[in-house]
Amino acid sequence: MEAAKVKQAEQLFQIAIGLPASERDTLLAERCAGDAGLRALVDQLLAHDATGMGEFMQQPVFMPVPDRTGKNLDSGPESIGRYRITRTVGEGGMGIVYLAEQTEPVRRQVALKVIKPGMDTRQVIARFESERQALAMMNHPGIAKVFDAGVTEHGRPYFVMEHVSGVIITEFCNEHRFNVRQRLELFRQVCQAIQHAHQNGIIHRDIKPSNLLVGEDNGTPIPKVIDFGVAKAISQRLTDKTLFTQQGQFIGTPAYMSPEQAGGTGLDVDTRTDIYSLGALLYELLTDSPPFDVEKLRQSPFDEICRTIREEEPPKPSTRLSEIALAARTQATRPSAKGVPELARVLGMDHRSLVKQLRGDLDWITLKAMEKDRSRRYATASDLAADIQRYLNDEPVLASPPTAVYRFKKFIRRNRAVATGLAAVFVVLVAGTAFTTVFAIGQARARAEAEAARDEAERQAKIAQAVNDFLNNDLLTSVRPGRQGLDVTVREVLDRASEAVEGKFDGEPLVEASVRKTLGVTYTSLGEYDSAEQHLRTALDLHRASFGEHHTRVAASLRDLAELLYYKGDHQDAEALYREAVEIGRSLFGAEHPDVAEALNDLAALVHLRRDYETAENLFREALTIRRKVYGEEHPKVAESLHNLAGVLETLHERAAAESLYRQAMDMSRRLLGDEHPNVIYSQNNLARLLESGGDFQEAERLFRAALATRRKVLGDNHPEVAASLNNLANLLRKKGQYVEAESLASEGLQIRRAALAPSHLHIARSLRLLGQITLLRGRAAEAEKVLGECLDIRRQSLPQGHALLADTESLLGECMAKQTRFAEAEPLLISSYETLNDKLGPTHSRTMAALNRIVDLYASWGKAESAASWRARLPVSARDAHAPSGASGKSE
Amino acid sequence: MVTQMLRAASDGDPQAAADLLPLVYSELRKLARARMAKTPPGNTLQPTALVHEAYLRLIGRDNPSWNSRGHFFAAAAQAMRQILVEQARRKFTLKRGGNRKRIPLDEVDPAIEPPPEDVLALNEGLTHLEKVDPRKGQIVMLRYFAGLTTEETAAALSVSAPTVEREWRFARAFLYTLLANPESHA
Repeated sequence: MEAAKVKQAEQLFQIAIGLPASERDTLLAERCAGDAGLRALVDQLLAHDATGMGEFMQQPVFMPVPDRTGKNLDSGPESIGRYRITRTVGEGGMGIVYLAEQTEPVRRQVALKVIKPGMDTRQVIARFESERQALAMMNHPGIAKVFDAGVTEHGRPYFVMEHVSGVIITEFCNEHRFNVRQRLELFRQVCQAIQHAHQNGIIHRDIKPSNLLVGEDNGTPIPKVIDFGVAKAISQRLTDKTLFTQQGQFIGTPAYMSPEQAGGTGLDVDTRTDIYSLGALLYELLTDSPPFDVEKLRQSPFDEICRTIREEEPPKPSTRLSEIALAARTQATRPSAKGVPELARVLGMDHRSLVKQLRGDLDWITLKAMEKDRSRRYATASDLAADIQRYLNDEPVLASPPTAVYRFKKFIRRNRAVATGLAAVFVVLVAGTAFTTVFAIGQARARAEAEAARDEAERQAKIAQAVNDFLNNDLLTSVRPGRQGLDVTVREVLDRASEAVEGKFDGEPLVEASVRKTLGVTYTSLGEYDSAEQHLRTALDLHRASFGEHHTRVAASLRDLAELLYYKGDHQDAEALYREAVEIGRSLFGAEHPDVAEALNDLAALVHLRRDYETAENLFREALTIRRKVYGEEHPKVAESLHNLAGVLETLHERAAAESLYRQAMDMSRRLLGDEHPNVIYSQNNLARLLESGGDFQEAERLFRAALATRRKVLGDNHPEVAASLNNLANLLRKKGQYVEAESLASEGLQIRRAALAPSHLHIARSLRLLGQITLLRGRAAEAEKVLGECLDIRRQSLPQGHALLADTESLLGECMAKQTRFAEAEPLLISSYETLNDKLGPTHSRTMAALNRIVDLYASWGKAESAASWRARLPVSARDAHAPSGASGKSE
Repeated sequence: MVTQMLRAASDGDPQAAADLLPLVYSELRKLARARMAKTPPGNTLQPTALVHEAYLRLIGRDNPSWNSRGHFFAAAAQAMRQILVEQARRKFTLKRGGNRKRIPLDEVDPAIEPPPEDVLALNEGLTHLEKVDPRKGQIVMLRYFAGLTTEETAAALSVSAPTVEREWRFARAFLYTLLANPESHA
């Protein structure tokens, strides 16, 4: 077999293994036409590759000792999947953990967790797969990576994780006699790791000491969170069935489980579930005992466990320590009694001073993290970490003792069945202790006053409505996009109104809230995000102060603010606000209500952004169903839902369905809202992008130009959405080879984005990339290098190392260098970025092939014809002839 | 002295690379014999361990760059291959009732149990692969005969790990195909 034939066979082999079996045939039939020998060879290679070839060359040559008896028999199975089991590490409630060795694709030690029987394996794997991409994005020294999941030959699901050698955090602290400060330092690191996960859209759901291992690196303790993604895959929500296995074993860890996980609230878990569990962990680190009596919980029936977690307040950590001390003294004869004397001994201090140290700030920080009502917990893990840091710095902490009113509210909530009215509350409370009675009477008075205040507030709301109507109908709506009309410089009017609103409505919070809401929403639609945020936050605070947490006006305020944060790029906060709004809507109106659909829709958009497409599709469909029921078939909101659904389907490569839905949405919006409405433009743009990627440049250009013209007319020349339209059109013109116009459009888009967005906003990077690419095509390599360098700087700020977008930018930069004959500098950059793209996007992706072409060009211009030829040989045959430098496709927006 | 040879080898001196092989070869044989005497029954030695130990003994811990380490492991892999092939040839001739001449005791190679693969056929196939695509040959040598991991192989050859993976996958399928159809060599 000559070398050329082997090379050819390899090329086809490498392309074919990336294709589904159905497409291989077409490829091979085309490329091997007239060469039956080649075809036979490739077919054989593929067939052998597909079988795995058994053990053939899987192990390096061994050097065994003469005697092969004495095989290790008790170490569980020899292998699971492609992992060779080394030994059993531990056995927990959930399953068995093995230390195993992976040989393919890399050799490394891994921890392999096999889940006990009793789960629906298919669902477990499906749920893991849905989160896999997000899990892979996580890159933090405090988080053990999760590599894989699979099914054993006995049909049980297993998870493969980074092997961490360390000690359970609570044991580590005790063994090392960590004092309170050292414990808090360690805990803070855990919070930061959790924060990283939350930023990647991953919720742990099962934070507890045994999932936090501490290892040491040169004497520095390094905590690591393990089992990410496992709890979610094992059970979406804890129910009677999932909590216990068939053997009646408890799977979850009730002592650290959040109230919403304990069910009854009807709420999905969100990042705040982890905040709760972090609080419970902190509780244990500080008191050496979990917040709830584990033994008592274990012996309770399921309903009782859930009730305890939902309703019972754990004692303050300092109180718990005193209790344990008391118990230890009275039961000193019981050898197992482990009390403060024990912990204090571990910490090397007198138990009274330990109690004193916890009392106050540390009590409140712990209990704030563990609030039953999650909206009262720390909003993020880094907020919790920051409060710990404040304590360590002797600064005032944010957590504070609950107010009397708040405690009273909680009492009412716990006893809702009995306390249906004030009278009933009296009856219940009078039967209590004297202290409680006094407390309750005081509260009853406060409550009566609050009722009166609410009447007053409602009166004021009527005024507010009047003021707002004026603003809405007569002044401001004229500048809201969608209603074609007045000059955008009405911004001046807004600025003046903003100044006037300060201090004008003292004592009339609802009037002020309404005015601010209108100002904020209008600023948002003008792209003036900072001004908008100020107004919307104040409006939200005012609404909360007047109506409490659960009110439709509060939900509406939350959505306004969330929408703004979404535009601003603050996606995580936006998502939390939308979820809160959905909850409020459901608790007030049930599932089928316009407000619920609204919040679901917006939430879905965010979930889509963080690439959980499956969830996004479901949320969009849910919103669409509600809207059709509430509004009928023909309605702007229904059109919006159709458009959004089309977007997800496009992402999921269902092109035909997406195109049809975009057209339906566009036509319906146009019928109902007029040609210039933003929703018409959104559908038009997306349709154009879909057509562009399908190769219909002419129709795409027509649609992009129409959208740009409309946006300029309605929004003025400086709106970020105008910039998006400019980029879309510029990119299309680049593809068509109309570089001069493309450049001027791209640089205008960049200017707008620089003026309107934060300096590190990824949209600015996007504009820079396009401009750099066009500049390069026009032959100005040095200038392009500068532009792309800035693009890379911005992307590096928010993307993890090894991200395809970084490699893509680097490859373009390499081309700039090569064009300036800095070949030796370009070479490693071009090759490493190509490897990354090949790895992340696959060999047939247009950006990968563009990067490969750049390498071929490099060597060709360098005069290294041999290298050029050998790299060129990696290109698919069809791409070799048609190859044009810088052929990377851009993405429209 | 070995370190110097390594440097020379990594500077592209082919003679230095050739000189390295016998040293590594004899060291590996010595080590294997010593290990076998000490290792309790039921355990296996991976060439990785042997090769790394040979490396430490010959070069010490002054840790030359990966490039020259790569040359060492290439030599080690070559030695492992040679040991296995010689042993397989001897077995083959013994089976045929050929050479029954007694071999002096201290020259007997450690009784290396052959890998499950057909060593002679594999050796032939690999020689063929080395001719048509030298880098794939090197990858097979380092991974299979020296027991290097993907990352180590990548570092030794100054290519990326995904490249090693990709080429290894092909090389394995290719060798398997050759072994399955011995007539297709030509």
